[in-house]
Amino acid sequence: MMRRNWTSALIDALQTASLVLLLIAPLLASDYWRFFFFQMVVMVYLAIGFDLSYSYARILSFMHALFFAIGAYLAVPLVSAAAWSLPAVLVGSVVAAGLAGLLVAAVLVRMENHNPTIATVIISSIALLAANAMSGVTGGEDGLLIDARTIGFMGFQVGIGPTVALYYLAVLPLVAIMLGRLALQRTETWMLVRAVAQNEDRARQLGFDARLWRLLMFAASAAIAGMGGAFYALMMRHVSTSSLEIGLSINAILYAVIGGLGTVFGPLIGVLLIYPITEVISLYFVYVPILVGVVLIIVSLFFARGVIGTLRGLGAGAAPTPAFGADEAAAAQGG
Amino acid sequence: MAFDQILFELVNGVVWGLILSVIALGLCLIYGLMGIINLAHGSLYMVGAMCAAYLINRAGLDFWLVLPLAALCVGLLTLALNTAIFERVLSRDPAIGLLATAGVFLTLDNMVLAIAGGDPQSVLPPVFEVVEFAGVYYPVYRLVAAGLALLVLVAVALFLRFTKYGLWMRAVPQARDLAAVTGVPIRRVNAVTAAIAGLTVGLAGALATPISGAHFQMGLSVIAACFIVVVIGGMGNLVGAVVVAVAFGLIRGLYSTLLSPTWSEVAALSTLLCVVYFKPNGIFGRR
Repeated sequence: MMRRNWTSALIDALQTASLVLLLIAPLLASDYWRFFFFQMVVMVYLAIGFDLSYSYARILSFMHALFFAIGAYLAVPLVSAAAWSLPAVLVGSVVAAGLAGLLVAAVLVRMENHNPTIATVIISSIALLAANAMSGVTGGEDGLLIDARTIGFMGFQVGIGPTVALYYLAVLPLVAIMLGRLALQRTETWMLVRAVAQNEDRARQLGFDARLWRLLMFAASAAIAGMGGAFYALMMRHVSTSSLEIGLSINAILYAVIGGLGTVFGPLIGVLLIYPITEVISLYFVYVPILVGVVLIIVSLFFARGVIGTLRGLGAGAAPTPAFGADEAAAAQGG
Repeated sequence: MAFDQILFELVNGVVWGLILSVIALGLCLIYGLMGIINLAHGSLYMVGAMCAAYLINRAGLDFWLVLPLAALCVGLLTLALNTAIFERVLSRDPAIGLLATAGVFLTLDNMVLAIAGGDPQSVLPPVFEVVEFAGVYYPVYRLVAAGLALLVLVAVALFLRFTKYGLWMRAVPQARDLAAVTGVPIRRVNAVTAAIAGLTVGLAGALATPISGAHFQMGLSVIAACFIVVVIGGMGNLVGAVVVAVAFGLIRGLYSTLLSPTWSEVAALSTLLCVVYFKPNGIFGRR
């Protein structure tokens, strides 16, 4: 089909363009724009975390900001007091957030219907309350500062803050995660993950441990959010309890939904589309969350498949694709 | 630990439990009838409280007049939400309802911040008297608020039990198609449900202002308690939700004899979260 060709070509072009943009932007742009792009990179980690959780662990999570914050908060003492190298800090943050995810998922995967989602709202509220109450440890809304100036990486010292070197050290794992997911999609393991996500009961009847797979996917999604948190702390040199707020999770959800759920490049495209718009608007209008909320309402009511899903829908003619969150990557790959 | 302090905290716990029941009532009704989890429910409570604070402090209205006005405001707002959002997400993927109401939550909270500012508002109670029992001095207003909350719960229970709409509201979730075929005006039943949910949660917000003040983020602080009550009470089970809400109030009261208010909230929520671990789908079963 001709139409199918031009839309899939368009999707490919969109994906390649966003990757290239991510890689070359800080070379072309000023310090301000590098900082801007760095923030987007961090948000992509968070959005990927949400997407993995929703699309493959089948948990619509409002708590990924918590995993993000765990990674960010842990990075502060690891960099400042312990003076760990960058890879060690990242491993620390990823493991901590991943373990937290594992712990939470152990409860969530046993719940039915909407209860897991509600539990994520409850847990993130408890965490925010507790974090603000422990302001001696967390610094409360004022937060904690990273006072170290550099961090070790393979024998080099990399400047902390929105530096070019740190930007690339943050982008490369992100690209690796996305390309790795692309490669994984061709494996049998991933087929199993998708089978579990699409129909847990059937997967269980076929003898697969569905809960275990959902547990692992949720832990992985938490770990990726935690990695984003670690880079956020390093870039901002500052973490506060505001990074635990449910509003941050909702932003991540919006990025993932707009880009297209269950797609490799959806979170990246969602961030690249929405983040600059909200950033520009915030120059003129302080209460950006009002607009984010309105956009989320409109998108979820009328545009739930996101950019990639909608393009694929066009390509497939009027074929009835699932309205929301089904594994669109699979739909496109399967032909 | 002095006995009178424990008693004080326990009475406080029951009072808060009853108000929490009224807050959770609307969440429970909307879920029970439409299967929608309204993440903006805490924001509706907040709007009720902020309306009350505005009408009392700025417009100088009497508290007892403000109670129905605040309830009415939130009732109308919820009706509008019903038309704009609930009706549209009814029979679709539950995730759509969750995301749309998450958007409503962000919008409402920040609109109130933009209009009223971020400073906490306090409201004087309409009754200043203090009553003494068993050596405990207790503000009368809180007892009045608890009494009114109880009254609302009983009124809604009677409405559900003895009116035509009440019957329909109980019947529709059990057999949606059958109800439609037999001529139940489902859309109107949905609207009545949304209106009751809004009226009750708005009233609860106004009732709570003399106790807890009003602040644009106060919805966020009740949403966890509200949801945990509804989950453990068995989604859509009203009696279960009330029982758990009062239990939650009592547990929080017991903790607050030992801990600061924030930590006792955290401890009470965590305790109930442990219940959720062992009974992931509630102790009163599903409807």
